[in-house]
Amino acid sequence: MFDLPSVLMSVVLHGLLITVLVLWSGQTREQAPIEYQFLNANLVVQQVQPLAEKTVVENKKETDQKNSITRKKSSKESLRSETPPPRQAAPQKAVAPSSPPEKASQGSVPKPKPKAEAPKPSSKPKPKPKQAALPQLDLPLESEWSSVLERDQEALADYDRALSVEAEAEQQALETRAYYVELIRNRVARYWSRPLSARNGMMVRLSVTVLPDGTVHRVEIKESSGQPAFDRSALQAVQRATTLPVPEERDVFNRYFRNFVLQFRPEDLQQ
Amino acid sequence: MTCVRFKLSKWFPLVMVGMVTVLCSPRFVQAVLSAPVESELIIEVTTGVDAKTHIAVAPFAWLGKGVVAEDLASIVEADLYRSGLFSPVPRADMLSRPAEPKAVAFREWRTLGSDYLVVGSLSPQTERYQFNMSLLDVLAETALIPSFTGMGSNLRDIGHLISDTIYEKLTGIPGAFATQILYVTLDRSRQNSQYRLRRADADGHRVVTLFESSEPILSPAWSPDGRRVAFVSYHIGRRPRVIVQDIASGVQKVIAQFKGINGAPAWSPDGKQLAMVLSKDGNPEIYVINLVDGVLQRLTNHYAIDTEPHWMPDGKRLIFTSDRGGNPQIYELNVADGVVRRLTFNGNYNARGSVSADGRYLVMVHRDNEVFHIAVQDLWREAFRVLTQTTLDESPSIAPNGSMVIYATRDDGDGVLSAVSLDGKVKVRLPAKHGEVREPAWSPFLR
Repeated sequence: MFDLPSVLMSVVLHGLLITVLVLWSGQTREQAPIEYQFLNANLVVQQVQPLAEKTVVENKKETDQKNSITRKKSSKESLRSETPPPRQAAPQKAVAPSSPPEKASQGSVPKPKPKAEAPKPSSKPKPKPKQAALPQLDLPLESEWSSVLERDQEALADYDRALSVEAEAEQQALETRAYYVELIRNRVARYWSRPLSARNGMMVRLSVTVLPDGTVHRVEIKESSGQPAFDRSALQAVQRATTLPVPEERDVFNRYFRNFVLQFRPEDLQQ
Repeated sequence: MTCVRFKLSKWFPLVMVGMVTVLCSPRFVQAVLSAPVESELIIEVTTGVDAKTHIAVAPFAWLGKGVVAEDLASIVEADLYRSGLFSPVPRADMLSRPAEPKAVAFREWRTLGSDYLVVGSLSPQTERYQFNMSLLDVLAETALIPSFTGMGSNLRDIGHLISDTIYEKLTGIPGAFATQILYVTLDRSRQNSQYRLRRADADGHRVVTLFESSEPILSPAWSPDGRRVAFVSYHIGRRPRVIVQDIASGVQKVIAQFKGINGAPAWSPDGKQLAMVLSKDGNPEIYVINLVDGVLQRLTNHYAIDTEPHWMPDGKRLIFTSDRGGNPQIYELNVADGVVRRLTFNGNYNARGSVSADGRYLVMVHRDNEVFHIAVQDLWREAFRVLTQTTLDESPSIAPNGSMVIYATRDDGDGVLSAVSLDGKVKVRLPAKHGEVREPAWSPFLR
């Protein structure tokens, strides 16, 4: 069926392809850690170094000018200059986020210094040779940092809110489910008339399909008790009920009540 | 930022490979596939109402000429009603009278609230009737019994047979409508009293007098095959004798006529032995007589009174009433080794015990605050329950299917028969047509 040349051709082509892929992935894999380190270092440098230097310089200028307007600015800028640390500190899980407001109110200039100094030693060894690359980076301006940070915090808050909203919704769904489980249980029990041959501990499971309006669409035996009369009593309980109480919340209904299992196991029989 | 993006782009193949790997991993595929299913919700129902089952018995179509002697459907209806488990749909409410499943409009019967529907027809044969019936599930719109055909010479027999068939299908327990009861009646006139041993259908119809006497008749008992009856009669010399009578021929045979008490006969499950109470050796003791060779064996030997023997279904043990503990209680006796074990401990009076065919339920007369009730004890689980609220209840006898207990009680000073289900939920008064009625005994299955 296959002629030799085409088979050989395909083998060679596949081999080539695989080799190229292996080589390529090998390259990228080798580069990956370096890139990672570089990125990491960059981030630290971006956050720490320029801020510390710039704020100090600006503040010096401001004090020289002794301008009331610039003083206001300086206080604002000191706020800005102080707010960035949380971002740099956040990955390190420092207490920074809570401290800035207090320090801002004090309006003290030198205070940011030690803050900026602290991370320095850790970032110094590596970033130094690469600081040359810094200007090339398309970094946000210092003045933009606060807004970036704000955005980040907002995003974080949004995420938290979304999480809590989701958890709340989930909790609500569970509560709704529990409520309707009880309603269905009660309604079915009201229609369940056990035959004389029923005994405590017998069990039949029915698979029930319900329409969104609660109408029983389909009911069938999923797991028989082995006693036809007992099985039928369960079937009839659902059939007699004709409709079952189901939640109006569409997703809760779809998740739990469109299709569920009714398990009949008497515990209250006297025989 | 662009720089970072550029760097990332170099990673792109790796990222893609990673993503493809993740997407293709069985775990992810499984997660995606199972996501819409969720864990299936299971709602457990552990209680019920056990309301009566609504059943409609459409009149049977008569395919012969003229009018049929008995209304077959109403016999079935009455049987089912009397069981206490069914609530028949009144005939006046029926919108149609189908005679076969094909003619049934299910919606119509569903509207009537009927869960089941019985339809059928009856046709004349020479000296007999042929019937055909179907049992339909109205809610499921299916036939539970598509077609059941048979012949019979008596419409009441046919009716009870149909009732048994329906009952067994719907409850999972054999019906006992085609059974009979024995009982003793006392008709007092000015001059004399007349005692009669009677037999009737379980529904109280077709009463036959088996024996009558101006002297007392006591303790009737069915043989296991339902063909003979043992009882105590004072008709010879006004002294108690244990007598066995063949029901079909009416031939009687005196089994025991010893000095003192000859009483409380009880058939062994194989029908070959008769247990009874004799006081020929001083005080009442339990004896067993072999009906084949007439050998008499004494089973108890106690200075207290031992009476009212009743066989356990295995035929190896007997229960009896004894006051050896200070007051009447029910004991069990192992026939082989004579070992006696006390069964009842509730209250200070439990007597006249009889046991269901499965050996599980011990039914007795229980005295509570000087009032006599019928009570049942679950011998497997040691549960005890008083079944009746009437007073002076006596002589409980269990139906062969274990569904009901028939007993004698008083109503306005008259002795009447009542029946109660073993769970105490269903109570029925049986029609008493003959004055004072006493000592009912439910027959075994007669088929």
